[in-house]
Order: sequence, then C-alpha cells, then structure tokens
Amino acid sequence: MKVRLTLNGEPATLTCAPWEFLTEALRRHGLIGTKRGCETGDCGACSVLLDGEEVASCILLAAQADGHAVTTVEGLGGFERPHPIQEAFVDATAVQCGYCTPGMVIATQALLAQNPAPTERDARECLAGHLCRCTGYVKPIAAVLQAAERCRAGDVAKTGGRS
Amino acid sequence: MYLALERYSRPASIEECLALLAEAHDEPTALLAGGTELNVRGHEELVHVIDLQALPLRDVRVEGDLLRVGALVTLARLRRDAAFALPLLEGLREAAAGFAVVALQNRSTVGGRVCTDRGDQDLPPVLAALGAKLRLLRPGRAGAVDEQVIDYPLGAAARRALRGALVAEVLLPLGEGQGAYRRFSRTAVDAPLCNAAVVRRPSGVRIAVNLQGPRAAHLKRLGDTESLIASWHAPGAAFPQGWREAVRLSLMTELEPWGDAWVSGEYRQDVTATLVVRALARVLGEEEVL
Ligand SMILES: Cc1cc2nc3c(=O)[nH]c(=O)nc-3n(C[C@H](O)[C@H](O)[C@H](O)COP(=O)(O)OP(=O)(O)OC[C@H]3O[C@@H](n4cnc5c(N)ncnc54)[C@H](O)[C@@H]3O)c2cc1C
Ligand code: FES
Ligand code: FES
Repeated sequence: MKVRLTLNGEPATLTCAPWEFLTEALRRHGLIGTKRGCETGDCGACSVLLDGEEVASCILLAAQADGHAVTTVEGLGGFERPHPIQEAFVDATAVQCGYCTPGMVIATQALLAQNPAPTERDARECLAGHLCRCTGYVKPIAAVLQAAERCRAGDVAKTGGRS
Repeated sequence: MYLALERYSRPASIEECLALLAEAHDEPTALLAGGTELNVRGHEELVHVIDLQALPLRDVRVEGDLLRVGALVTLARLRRDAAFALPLLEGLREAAAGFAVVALQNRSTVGGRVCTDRGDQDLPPVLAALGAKLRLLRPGRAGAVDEQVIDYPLGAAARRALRGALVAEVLLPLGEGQGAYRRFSRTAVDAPLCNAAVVRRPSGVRIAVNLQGPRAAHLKRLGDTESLIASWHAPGAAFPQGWREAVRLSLMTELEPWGDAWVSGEYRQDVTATLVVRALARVLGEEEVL
C-alpha cells in the first residue's frame, strides 16, 4: 500500500505492507536517525513527531501516518546545520554512544514547541520515556534546559527547526 | 505485532465503520484507535484492522448534566483541555498525567483505554468513582445503527455487550464535587502497582481502587468504606476527628491482600489503603500525611 505523508516538510510516498510499523518504513526510506530499540513503546529510541506531537514510531503502523506530517531527527538538523537542540546535547556532553539521542532531541523539540521556558521538572517529564544506557540522565536534562535557552534566543523551536 | 495483517481500512464515517465491522465474521478483525495496546501485544491472529482516526469521535461537550467525551480523545487532551479543568475531574487529569509517558499519552485514547483489559490501568478507578457510562454503537438491521448506553466498570455482562461494538463516547455525570487520584508504581514512568480514586459529591463519597499486577487487575468499588463514611455525616459536613484510622481499618478488611510476582498481597493492600486515605484527604482539603 502507498502511504502519502509530509515527511520532514516535503511530500513523500512510502510503499509499505499493511503490518509495517513506521520505524521500519522510515529507516527503509533512508531516515536511519530513528532508532529501533524495544519496539514496545518503552524506550523512546524511535520517537518522531506526528503533526508536531511526540509519538513512538515502533508502535504506530506506517498506514496510520497516511495524510499526516512526520518529522524525524533529520528534519530538525544534520551535521552541516545542526539544530540548537542538537548543539545543546553535544555541548552539554549529553551524548555518549548516541543511540538514545535522536529520540531525546525529538522529545525536546516537542516540549519546546509547547513550552519554551521549561522547568527542570518539565525537562524530566519530557525525557521520562527515554532510556539511556551510557550517559545517564543528568546531562540530558541539562541539555534540554540549555536547548530551551538557545531556542528562546534564536526563536527556533516554534518553527520546527530549519525547514 | 501484526505479523499477519493483510488489510488496513480507514472508514470515513461511523456507518462505514460499522458496515466493515459487520462484514468481519470470517476475518479476525479489530478496531484500532491509538494503537498503544493493539500494536504492541502479540495480535498475530489479526488479519484486518479498522482505523478509527477519521471518525468524528473527538468532541468533548457538555449536554445537560453530562460531559460527553468522544472515544478518540487522547489522554494528553484529558490533561490539558479546559473542559476537564473542574475540581470534580481532578482525578481524571491526574490519572492522565500519571499514565506512562508523553509519547504514549499523545496516542492513547479514552475509548482504547476502556476497552483494554490489561493489568496496569490508570483511568478505570477514576471512571468508576465518577459513575461513568459508555455509549456503544453496533451494526443494526438493514444498515441501521443500534445504540446502547451501559454502566462502567465492565462486569462480565458488560464485557459481552462490548463485543462487536464501537465505543463512541464516555459519559461523565457533572456537578459540584472534588475528585482525586493517587497511584503507586516502581518508578514514575512505570504502570501502577495499585491506585485509588475518590470522588466527593454533595450526595456522598465514591471510592474505587485497582489492585493490579502484570497480567490481571481487580477493579473494585469500596462499598463498605463508602457506607461507613456515609454513616458519619450529613452530605457535605466535615468528617469526624480520627477519620483516617477508621477508614484505614475499614479498608484493611475490605481490600483483599492480592499479591503477585511484583509485590506481596499485604504490601499492596497496605499501600492501597494509604492511597485511599491520601485521596480522601485531598477531596476534604486536608493535609495528606497519614
Ligand atoms: C509502553 C506502554 C506503557 C503503558 N503504560 C500504561 C500506564 O501507565 N497506564 C495505563 O493505564 N495504560 C498503560 N499502557 C496501556 C495502553 O496505553 C492502553 O491500553 C491504551 O489506553 C489503549 O488505548 P489506545 O487508544 O492506544 O487503544 P488501541 O491499542 O488502539 O486499542 C486497544 C483495544 O481497544 C479496542 N478499541 C479501541 N478503541 C475502541 C473503540 N472506540 N471502540 C471499541 N473498541 C475499541 C481495540 O480494538 C483494542 O482491542 C501502556 C502501554 C504501553 C505500550
Ligand atoms: S523502540 Fe519504540 S519506544 Fe523503544
Ligand atoms: S548515549 Fe548511549 S544510550 Fe544514551
């Protein structure tokens, strides 16, 4: 079946089986920033934005995304033009292996779009569904707060990144 | 996981949805809302899912003394929608906020929640304490739509009534009052091991708890403790000194010590009694310490 959606700001068509989950469909499309983790909605590695809201793409059928806007971590920024959230995660040394980072960056984007001045408690809630096996959580929480400051200064989060 | 899923449908109207449901005799078929249950726990038998997302089931509106909540309203909306910002519905907001994590709250729907028979449940005790009802639709004769309103919680008979039906709305009786919900889980993001909801209206207090484990749950109204409280006071009057001890004693008799692999029955019983007392203190506007 054909799944027509807006992917990182551009119209796209994904060819998928009815049973296929969005994580796989995105990765096959080359968007491998979306990670495969628990595949049961528990770890946050596969988070993407669906119409601006954070969702676990491992428990969303690709077909369910038909007609919607999906943003992956690649839609926020990349090596050449990182998003301030991505920069904040690097500068706060909140990244070791980086497997959990795309999901955390996506969650931060969703938070800041709704709440540009989060408290530490908000930052904790935002990352609560994101498991990190290397860095721990202190630095990612600092990164969320730093990202908020940078986005407020540059007013980026509201626009959904570079697109 | 949907290893064998062959068909995905997205009906544009209730009638179309019910027609698809009516055709589903030969083919293992399920309705799909947020998918946070259906897309997770081995549903290899399913061949066809009917995605409800295009149906007009997202309204929240007051009609007379009822708040009508569309089945596709998400838990995220229960947390932030102004319609739920009433003292009576405080427990509903707390249960939605306590539920898993943001990415799940954004997808889980009220309809999916009431249809899911799974151990770790945040909303059911609140709905039971509020006296919620469910509006069901099912395919009738010659394309007609049959409608039925049933009480929540789901007893065995009501569960039978749900089979083959679309839950269209959850109906919440409004009015003056204060609600509260307290949960206990291993960490903030884990599903609760036990929880308690209390609603105090001018007509009296309703208490519901969920004693739960990985595979099963006992949703229970605490009628004996409700009667004890009713015996103390004219509606709306203050509770007597020492109410906490009396309530706790009643709860320790009324709550069965239901243990499983996660916690012992005595531990769950004790913590649940504490949660009820705290929720009661909240609805009375008192401090929550025991
Ligand atoms: C990682 C994780 C953590 C979780 N944590 C919690 C938690 O902390 N607390 C908690 O309470 N739950 C928790 N859950 C359970 C889950 O989120 C709920 O069961 C959820 O509310 C189901 O809603 P849904 O809209 O996603 O339903 P779906 O998964 O789409 O459907 C669930 C069931 O309901 C049926 N159904 C759905 N909508 C309707 C309708 N309108 N009419 C008739 N039938 C319908 C479906 O056919 C299916 O059988 C968790 C789940 C996951 C994956
Ligand atoms: S891979 Fe999706 S939440 Fe873990
Ligand atoms: S940095 Fe390795 S899992 Fe988080």
